[in-house]
Amino acid sequence: MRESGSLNPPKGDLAEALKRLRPAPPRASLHEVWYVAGVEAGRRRAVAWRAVAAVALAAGIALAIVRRPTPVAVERIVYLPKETTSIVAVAPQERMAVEPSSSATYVHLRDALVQYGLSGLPASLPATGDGRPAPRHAFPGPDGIDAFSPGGWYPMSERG
Amino acid sequence: MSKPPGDATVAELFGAHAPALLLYARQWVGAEEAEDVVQRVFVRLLTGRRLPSDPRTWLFRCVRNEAIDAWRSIRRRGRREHVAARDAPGWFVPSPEDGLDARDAQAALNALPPEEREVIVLRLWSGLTLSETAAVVGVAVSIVHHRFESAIEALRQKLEAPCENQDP
Repeated sequence: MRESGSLNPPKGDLAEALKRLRPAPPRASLHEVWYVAGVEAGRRRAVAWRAVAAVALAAGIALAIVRRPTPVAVERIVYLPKETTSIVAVAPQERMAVEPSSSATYVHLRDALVQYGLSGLPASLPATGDGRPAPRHAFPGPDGIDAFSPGGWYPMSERG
Repeated sequence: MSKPPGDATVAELFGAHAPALLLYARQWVGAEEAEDVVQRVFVRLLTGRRLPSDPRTWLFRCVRNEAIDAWRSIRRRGRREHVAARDAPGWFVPSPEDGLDARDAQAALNALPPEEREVIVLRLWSGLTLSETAAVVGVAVSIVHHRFESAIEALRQKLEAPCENQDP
């Protein structure tokens, strides 16, 4: 196909007349284009530097995580004194045997009293739980006799 | 693609093709947006790493793509560009030496279908050959030739017709 000369004379004349019209030039000069191009290039460079810094930071963090020293397990033999362990293990039970609570003492005495009568009561005064002997007037027996006297029970008038 | 575009090359391209590129961009958008389109294309040329093998065709193809994108964006924004386009400068510089009136020519061109108007602008004011025009538009050379013939015929009928209001 021919690039030119394909138009008949009237069309060719019109095309030549149209071609003589000059398109309006742009208002922006080449200097403005260069300025915008410079700004654009600077922005691209800043973005590139930020990307490089981000990648370097990420690589550094990853390297630090990968090369982190593994924790070393140290094996040591620890000797513990035997007495300490036995005391610790036995102490609660012993303390319970030595220092029964007041409710347990009461139940024990009540059972002994029901089963054996007054002869079943212990010879010594029961503890109150806090280490002090119970007051004598707290458990008066029948006819004014102290039920918890050290030698069995006896009239209160015989006591000093 | 060969080497980075030098300042002299870009200045030469700007001086030779900027008016035609602006006229080409105005086939889709108004004057202000067309200026931005041409500027963006030259900025892309300046910031590019290599000069295109055929810079002229590359420039017109880029302007076409940018202008169509801008036209779509304007259409989405609600056609505000049309209000400003009424006070926009004309497409051509009026000159008494021209055989045709610039405003009449612009009006006749505006009446053409967009695909024919695009071919006319590329062929007459950009100086592109038929094959280069076909490469820019993205159609076959025969289609470009057909559109050019049809457009010239339509312009001839419009511009050579006597004015209806003119007294005999």
